[in-house]
Amino acid sequence: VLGRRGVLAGALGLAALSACDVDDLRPPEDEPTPTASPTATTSSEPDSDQQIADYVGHRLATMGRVVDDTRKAFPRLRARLQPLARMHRAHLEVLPAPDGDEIPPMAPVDGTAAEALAYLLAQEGTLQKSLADLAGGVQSGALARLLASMSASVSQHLAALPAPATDGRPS
Amino acid sequence: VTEVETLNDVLANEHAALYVYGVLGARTSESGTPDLYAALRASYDVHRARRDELTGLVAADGATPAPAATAYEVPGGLETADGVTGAALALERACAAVYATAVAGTTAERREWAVTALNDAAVRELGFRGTPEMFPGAGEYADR
Repeated sequence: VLGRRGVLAGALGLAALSACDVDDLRPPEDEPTPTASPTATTSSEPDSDQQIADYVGHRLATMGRVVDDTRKAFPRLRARLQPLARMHRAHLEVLPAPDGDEIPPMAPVDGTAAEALAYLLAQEGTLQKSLADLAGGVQSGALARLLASMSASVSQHLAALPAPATDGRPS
Repeated sequence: VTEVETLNDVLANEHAALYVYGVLGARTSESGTPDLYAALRASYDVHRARRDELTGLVAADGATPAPAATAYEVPGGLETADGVTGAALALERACAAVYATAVAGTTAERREWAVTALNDAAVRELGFRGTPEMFPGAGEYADR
């Protein structure tokens, strides 16, 4: 299992790969995925799907850091945000940030826990919409399916977030 | 598989979902379990709207929309509210997988429709005691 995941993650981390490598995302043979009609595919450049995969990996890594930093700054939020942290890690295992990708330092998380949480949730909402939009624009049906599933996962996690356990004061 | 064939597969699934939701609603007491009944009713309404949208999309392509079958296989264990809830959750998860497949098999506005449907189904699962998944509709990625 780990080997397959590693191969997939490694392949998608290399920016020079051709678009056909993105098709390695297709599900197992016993779950055939229909291919989009050749006459109706988008007019993306051949390597645009790979660029989008790299971009998504960068976004996921960045968002994962925002979650981690918020959890560190506000211990009261640690348990509440743990599912989001796990989700980003799971998504990054499938679509990792490209090799050499640098995540810019995050601004210090300040204000109250409620303010930090509100900021984080807004960022997660933006990520969810971006994933959904990108799913609509990629050429590979398999990559579109993966991005759409990721966007649905973010939707689910946000909808299931437990009620606040903090009074809003910084921890 | 063409795009319209993909949409017709989703339409066939919506017919089945509507049938099963009808049975689940009939097995649920509106007064005894009002929250569950309301969730089932809301889900039924969403799937009915999806069915109508898909029928229009398929017909607009000049194809014949998939008809509903006379009856569909209904899950067992519907004697209790827990059983009905579990069946509804399984149904929404199955629908999510179908929508995810439709994302892969369509483009442009049709794909946007499928992406929206997948997101909606994933969130609707929570109303039937579902828990957040890493890859709704594409569980094989969680198993890699």
